[in-house]
Amino acid sequence: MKERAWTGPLEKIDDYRWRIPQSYDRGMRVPGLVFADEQLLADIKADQSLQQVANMAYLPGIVKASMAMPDIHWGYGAPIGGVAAIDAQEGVISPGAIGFDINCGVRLMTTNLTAEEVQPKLRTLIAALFSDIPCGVGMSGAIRLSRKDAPRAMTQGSRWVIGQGHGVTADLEHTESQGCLEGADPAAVSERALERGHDQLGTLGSGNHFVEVQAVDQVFDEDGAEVLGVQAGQVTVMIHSGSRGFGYQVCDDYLDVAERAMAKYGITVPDRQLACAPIDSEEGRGYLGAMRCAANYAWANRQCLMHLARLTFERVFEKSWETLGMRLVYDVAHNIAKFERHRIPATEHGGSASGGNGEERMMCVHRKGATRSFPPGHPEVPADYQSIGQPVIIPGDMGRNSYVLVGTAKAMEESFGSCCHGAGRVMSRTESVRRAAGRSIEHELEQQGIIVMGRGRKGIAEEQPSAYKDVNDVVRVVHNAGLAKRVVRMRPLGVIKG
Amino acid sequence: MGTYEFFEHTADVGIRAHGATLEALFVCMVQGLIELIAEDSVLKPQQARSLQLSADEAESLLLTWMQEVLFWFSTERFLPVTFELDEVTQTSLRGTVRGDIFDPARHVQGREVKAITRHLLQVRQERDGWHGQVIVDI
Repeated sequence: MKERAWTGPLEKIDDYRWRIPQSYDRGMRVPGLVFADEQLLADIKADQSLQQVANMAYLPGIVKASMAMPDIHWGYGAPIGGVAAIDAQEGVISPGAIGFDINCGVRLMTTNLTAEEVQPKLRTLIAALFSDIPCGVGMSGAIRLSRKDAPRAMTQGSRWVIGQGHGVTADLEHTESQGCLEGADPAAVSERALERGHDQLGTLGSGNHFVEVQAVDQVFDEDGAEVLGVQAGQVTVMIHSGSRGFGYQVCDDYLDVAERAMAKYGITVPDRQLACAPIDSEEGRGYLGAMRCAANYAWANRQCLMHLARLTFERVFEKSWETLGMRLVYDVAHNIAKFERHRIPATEHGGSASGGNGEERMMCVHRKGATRSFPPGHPEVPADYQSIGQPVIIPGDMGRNSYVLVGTAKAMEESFGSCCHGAGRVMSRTESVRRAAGRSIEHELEQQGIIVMGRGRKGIAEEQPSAYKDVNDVVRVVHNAGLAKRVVRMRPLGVIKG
Repeated sequence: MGTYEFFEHTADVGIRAHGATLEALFVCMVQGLIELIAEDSVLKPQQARSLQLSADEAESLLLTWMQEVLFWFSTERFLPVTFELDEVTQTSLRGTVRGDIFDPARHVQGREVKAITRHLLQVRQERDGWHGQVIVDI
């Protein structure tokens, strides 16, 4: 399939912006807009992701452009790294433009340990995390959601698990949307989703999900770093997971609903996986109610995972997690739809249906493999980060780096307050396994001082560093394009994978 | 009888299968799915599950069938090994499967398949039988 490389038009706007003209496909309602540089474009053009940017432009109500971040790669339906802002009154909601793993996201926690302090116990620490945090295929979590508790988890998210002892209320302040979306409707969630989710709270999953112990290796913005409470040499912990089987089933259920709705409302899209329903319809409201339940489940899950990690650190370092300074820096969602007010700029088409005249409108911003990037002073940025903007947490692969950036006013103008979500894959899973044949990726990483533990036989091969773009290249593009501003960079010390 | 193979996809994995009959195609697709989840684990036909599925057309039926198998795995860790399908048409499937309960301590952990996607989903009949492809979300 890889041979189906992009042969369509791609117009250079400037060094970091490229346009797929609306004329490429009659069904496109807006142009495509890709944030990338020449170097990253070479890989981006090699798979079907740009076709998926064009496909996403079919969604009724999409405004300004079908956007792609520099970590874009071929997904299903919408590309991974895709952003579609859709008019909340006239447009649609598309489960496939959010993804199966609803509210997959990342959180970062500080410690007051230095890399030198952790080094002697690093292997013990990673082994303890690997044993304490359920990960891999077919693993259950310690928390069983009873029929009575399930609606509470679905409607309260992080707050509910904190009430059960998995963290403290201060964690909520540093979680996007305080770890809970209003409007979650448990009645919109199927029995099958409940069955798949009842034993998966506090489980990491598999694939690209991880818990990583890191050290801050570069500070780009001293003032920003100080506000975030991070400094060079400090050890941090990053967690990447989502809504587990619960969210996957919610997406599946509503893809069926959306496919039926398309026939009912006379909507056509070029890929079944992009099935959608009007936001203001019974079907659209059903999905939104269920999606919010799944988003809340995901925040509850990452909260549980973070607390499990704190308890492991307590045991290994024989100090309380509070004494160890294990404070949540921030938690971002990167597969989600959010209702947000955005100023719609006049476009080159002079304020057509796809553009605006500078007025503020309520948008349903679909982010699939993209994070928010809200600027200083935005009401949804935590009080103590108001001066610097929302932390944008970008994990890289397990051999190179990860970043914390902060949101910008420019992102609000350019990308509906959105930024990339990671490095982005560049090599298929099958190719990664082939290239790892006869090698030990674990051993190679250990030579670089990185300890990796994983459950699956092929998981680590599939997730090897060369399977990903260099996150440094991706972050350079978003920084230079003004979508977010670099604050600190981390390097991995040890990782657990599913 | 039939065959299956995996094809490349940047983020996920594709399964492409061929069978002399629609039934053979459907069985091969599920065998591919199980290899992704449990690699070459030794699984025995120890428990039975019966099922009856219907859909509007063959592609949706393939999707429903694979979703059902994934649901069994997600909720009971059950993976089918043998297939006694009494009826497979383009719109309905009825039969019994026998399989094993996956044990992470005893079996080989492969990939966590999140979902069966509709992207590039295909079932088509050609002179040599039935061909299909599906991309699963990893």
